[in-house]
Amino acid sequence: MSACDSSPEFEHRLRELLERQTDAAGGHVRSQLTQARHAALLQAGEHRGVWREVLAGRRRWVPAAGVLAAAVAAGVLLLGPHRADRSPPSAGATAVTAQDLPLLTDRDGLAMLEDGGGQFYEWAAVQGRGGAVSGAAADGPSEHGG
Amino acid sequence: MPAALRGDVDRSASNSQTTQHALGRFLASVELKAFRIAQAALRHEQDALDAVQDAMLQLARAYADRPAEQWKPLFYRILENRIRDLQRRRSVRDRIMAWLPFVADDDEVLDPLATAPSPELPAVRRLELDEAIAALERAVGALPRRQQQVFLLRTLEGLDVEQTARAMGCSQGSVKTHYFRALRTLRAELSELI
Repeated sequence: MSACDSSPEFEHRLRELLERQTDAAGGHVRSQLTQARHAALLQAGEHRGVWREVLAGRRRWVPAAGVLAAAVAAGVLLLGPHRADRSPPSAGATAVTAQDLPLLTDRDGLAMLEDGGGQFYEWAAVQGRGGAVSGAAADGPSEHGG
Repeated sequence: MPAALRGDVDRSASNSQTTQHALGRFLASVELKAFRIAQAALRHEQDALDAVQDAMLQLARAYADRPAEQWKPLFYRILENRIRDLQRRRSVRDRIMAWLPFVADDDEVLDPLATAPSPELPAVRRLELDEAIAALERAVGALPRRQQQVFLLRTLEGLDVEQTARAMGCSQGSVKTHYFRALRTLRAELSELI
């Protein structure tokens, strides 16, 4: 670099003019820059405030919520593929379950089973199959007839 | 919470306030110069304001905890990236707008304070200064972008070679070369006015 190009006076003069030009910025530019600065400081304060409150224990829910979110995400990841393989239950299966419910909750049915009512159910099964109707079978189990 | 931990938290809150005050002072000290640097590169006032605002927010959000002496190069690095993004976006916008009918830009409103003459100088001297500033603005605006940014960071913001290199993301040798070429061009353009 020649002495001419690096003249300190020239650089000094340039700096002076640039600073003068900068200082002549309009009121609305200054106002917008001030607003931007305040917004930045506010954001910095909020960002730091959250972590300070976590450290102080005033926001204990923040780590708890993080753990919960991680657990939910892990659950979705682990169960997701199995859910895809699984076919939805048919309407028929649901209907059978609904039909079985009164039988399972029926106290009389259970009592019959305990009192040796198994023969009745064998008879009922034969009737249902429409098999050979013997006289005894047609009349029903003699023990249960009562 | 244990007392020791509470003490740490209180100290941390106090440090945080100190940092925030220091950050506020720093931003106030650079905002006008940063605006001028962004404006020279973008040649659009609102875009320049947006770039400076984004740089301030990014610095406050991500780097406020860094030592204060690192803020200036970091801030100008963020600003440089933002300027580049805006220039890219604008070139895309310009390509699209070239196909559309002309619409006047209402954002470009003249600021009476900016254009008002400074009262403390005699009229002739004021005219000379205004001419010199306008010529400088034109000459700086015509510099290649890297030369322009290096010149403004060094001359207006007063960054040294190392800080400028960090802000620009280039080598110190590159900074010296850009600065030398910028000065040479400006001298050729402005030697009669300045």
